[in-house]
Amino acid sequence: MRALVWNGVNDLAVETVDDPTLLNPHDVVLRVGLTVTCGSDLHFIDGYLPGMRPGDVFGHEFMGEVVEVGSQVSRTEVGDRVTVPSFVSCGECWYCSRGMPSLCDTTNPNAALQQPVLGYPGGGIYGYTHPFGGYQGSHAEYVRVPFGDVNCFTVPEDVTDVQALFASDALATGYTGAVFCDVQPGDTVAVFGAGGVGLMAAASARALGAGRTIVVDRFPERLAIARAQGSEVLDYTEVDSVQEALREMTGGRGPDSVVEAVGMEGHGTGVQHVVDRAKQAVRASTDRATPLREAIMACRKGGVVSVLGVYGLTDSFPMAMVTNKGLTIRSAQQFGQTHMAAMLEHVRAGRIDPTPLATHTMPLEESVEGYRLFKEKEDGCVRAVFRP
Amino acid sequence: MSGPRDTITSAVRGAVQGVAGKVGEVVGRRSSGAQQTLTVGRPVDDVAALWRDPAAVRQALGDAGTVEADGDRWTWRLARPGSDDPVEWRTTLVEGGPSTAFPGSSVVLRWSDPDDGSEAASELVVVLREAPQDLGTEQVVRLDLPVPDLAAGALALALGYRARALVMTGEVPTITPQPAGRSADR
Repeated sequence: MRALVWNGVNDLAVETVDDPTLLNPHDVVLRVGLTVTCGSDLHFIDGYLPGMRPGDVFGHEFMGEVVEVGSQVSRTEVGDRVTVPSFVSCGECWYCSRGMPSLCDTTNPNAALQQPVLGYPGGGIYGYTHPFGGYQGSHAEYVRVPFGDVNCFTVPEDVTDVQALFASDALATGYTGAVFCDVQPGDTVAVFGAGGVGLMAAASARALGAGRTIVVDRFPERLAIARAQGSEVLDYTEVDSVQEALREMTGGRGPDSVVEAVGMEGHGTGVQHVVDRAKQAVRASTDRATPLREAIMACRKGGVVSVLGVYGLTDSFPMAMVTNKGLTIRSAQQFGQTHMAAMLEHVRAGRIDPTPLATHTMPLEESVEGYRLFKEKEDGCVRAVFRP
Repeated sequence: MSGPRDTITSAVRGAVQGVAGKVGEVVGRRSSGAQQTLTVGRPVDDVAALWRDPAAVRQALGDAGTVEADGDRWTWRLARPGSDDPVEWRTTLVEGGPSTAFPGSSVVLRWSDPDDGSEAASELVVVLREAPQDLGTEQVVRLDLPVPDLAAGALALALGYRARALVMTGEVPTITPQPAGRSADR
């Protein structure tokens, strides 16, 4: 089959690789319908996250049609149109049975690689670095899905392929982050980052009862999507201080919660950001954490900061602000399996619509160019969707 | 030419000395680097049944090797990094119940070579004890095996992790033979 592979830092190619097969009795194989770029891929493409190997097929956000099922698969059937959360859940362990599937205790074949880093290994993920399992990714014609009955969710007829695609990760992550905010009716939720995850976090917060959502970014086309979906917007390049701007926009109280949806390659303004860029450039630090610090500064006292962006070993973390403001920090990789039914219902009801994220759609053969567009944010690219 | 026993003895001595050099010898216990404890959300009897089953243990070993059993005599063939020749390790499984050496233990399974009485003798010990709060079983995998010492901790975790997965789900997570990194002709 054809697949997009990582051959080294900033070295991608579409190549011919082996087709996946059933390896375990609970596996299914999907014919990938749609698969999409994700900002977290850029971290290893750019060489900031180690653990990739030349020839890795990557990609972790996808939907498709079931074409083969294992002997122990009972609910998922050949021909089902399904969406699949990015993390692999077993559905049986302590974490999966308590609604935290990305923390799964059994699905990481490379757990021994991850334990030294995290202390306790998390679940496997498709097409990411090898400490996350080394599973083949979705930027391919076919992909193997372990525990098909747990991880494949049949897409309702009135949900489109594109909507189902983003339910796999951008929506799942944004929704998880919004749930972390424990939104109360009428709350104000600020979202840093108007990428796919940030836009979906804002939409999810509104669906969960937020009265106001304020999206912070610098790209006009992304802010336009946020505005069109009902958010107020703040271009951080047009203000001296995001924190002060948000404080003024909220009567001096500050947002009740802040979702950080940027991650380790964030941008910002001011001296601290210059220092971050310099440290990251010489590999003295893994992260440019300006948005994370800003989120902590901007949140009201006693509020929740929900961190969805992917970070490495962040330094200069403003712990004093967390303590003295009584903040709650919540974070996780997405809990898509837990929220899938609710997410799809919100999509069906029109309360959340991920469709505008798909700014570019192209054949898989053009996916190298798709990643370039996505990385450079050219032509208003929010996400590049590939059709294998 | 050295025989399998010499190879094992040499490898084991190297492993033990390496670990001991880092953490020091502690009477009654081995390096913490070669011990991994995981909680398995199933009763002790279920977990013990897996460890008594050579086919299940073979599955848990995965690419680390293989094992065959004839009664309580288990023969292991363990992969050596950089070598196509596995290390053969002949053991006898001895099972015990609650032991003062392992406080709180319900089941103790020990694989070792009964003819090797040296201090550096290889052994794999699995201790099972009931976990608090109805969490299932605390499974301790402790090993001194004829593998490089740096690999011992990782192997202990991999073995325990895969065993837990097998008990919990009926399968072991794997990407073999289709990992993300492909060797196929392109």
